[in-house]
Amino acid sequence: MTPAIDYGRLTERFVAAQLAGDRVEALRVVVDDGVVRGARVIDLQARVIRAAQHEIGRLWQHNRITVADEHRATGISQIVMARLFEFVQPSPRNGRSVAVACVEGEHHDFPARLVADYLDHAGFDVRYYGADLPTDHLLRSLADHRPHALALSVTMTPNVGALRTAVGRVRREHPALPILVGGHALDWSPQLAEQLEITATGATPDEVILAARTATKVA
Amino acid sequence: MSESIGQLLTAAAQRLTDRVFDEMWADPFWQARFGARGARHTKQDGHSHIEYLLQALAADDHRVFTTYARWLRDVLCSRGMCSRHLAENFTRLAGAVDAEGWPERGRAIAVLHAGAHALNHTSGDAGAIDLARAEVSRAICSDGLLAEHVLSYLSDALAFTQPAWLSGYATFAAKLHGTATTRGVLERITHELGARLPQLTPVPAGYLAGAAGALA
Repeated sequence: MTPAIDYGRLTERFVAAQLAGDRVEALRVVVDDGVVRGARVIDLQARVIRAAQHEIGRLWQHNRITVADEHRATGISQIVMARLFEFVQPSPRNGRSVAVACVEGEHHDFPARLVADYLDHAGFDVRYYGADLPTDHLLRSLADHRPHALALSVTMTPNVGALRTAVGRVRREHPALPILVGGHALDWSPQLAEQLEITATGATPDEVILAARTATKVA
Repeated sequence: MSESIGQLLTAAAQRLTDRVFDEMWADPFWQARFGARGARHTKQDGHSHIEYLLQALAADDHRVFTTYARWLRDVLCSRGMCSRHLAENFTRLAGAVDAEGWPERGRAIAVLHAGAHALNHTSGDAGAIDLARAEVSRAICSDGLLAEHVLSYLSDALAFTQPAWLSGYATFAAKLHGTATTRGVLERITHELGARLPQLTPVPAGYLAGAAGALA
């Protein structure tokens, strides 16, 4: 029988490793004490790494760590995310593709990367564009690749203007393309998804996957 | 076609930020406490306020700005400022917008005032002290501004359980205003709060006594 995984304890140890700048320990926490002991990759991403990033942000907000500490911590999360990807047991492909990108000007790519991984694990073909994708290039890529849905990420509220622009231009050129949006900025603009008539992805893997399955009409 | 309030604010952002900065930093407190690095951050924050204001106007939703205000308060209080400093910044920005005379300026001013108001604590000892702050400050008329800031640091310290925020400010204020003056304000605030707000727990008086004790 697989022992219960204490995700809260793993998160504490992961944050401690991030703050110490100890990449090896961070990998040990997630791989040796997570994957090897039976934890699902998607749970480790959502309940350990995402939770740890949230804690790192909180520590900066309260002046407990510096910007440099925060960047180093995020770098460690990126390394661990890449390593975790190798352990994924991919679901059968569901025949749907999703483009995932941060809006123009948005440099916080971690949430979008999580969404890309969640969808990939769930059987979607994901085209992930990372941070700060200029809207012109987003449109060109959509025209070239014709995904079944577009997922846009916006973390910082000042980048909501870029989201409005991107949604408007995508709508004009691809009126039937479902648009999903996620990210911290939605928490501060609770009416935004409704105003733009787009679907908010939610934050948990289940919410993100359900939103994408609904938008792309996966049976 | 006339320009929208968003376009006008965007075009005037530098002018508005400079005006508010000059008004705020006319008080020697700012240079003495935060120096050149603080000046740089204050200017950056000024632009940030306008960016969030623009998004609140675009969404027609004050919550975009009030949520930002509370988040930023956490950032700044843990770095030596108090809620009143940030509220003063928003209020001065509202004044600068008003002075522009734009027809739609009332919408922007309302958002900024909502942001300032959102910085009042609303529960516990901190909430009671914020409600009484103006009255208590007026009662200590000769050092009213110092008293107002001490009260703001006090309510922030109480709300976040960070007594060091108050004692840190008091120690600095003693250098700027003199130990006797600062200690006198702390004592008069203790007296006024005791007389006016009998419902307070002993914690505020403890924080004030701790701050007085930290003075040289």
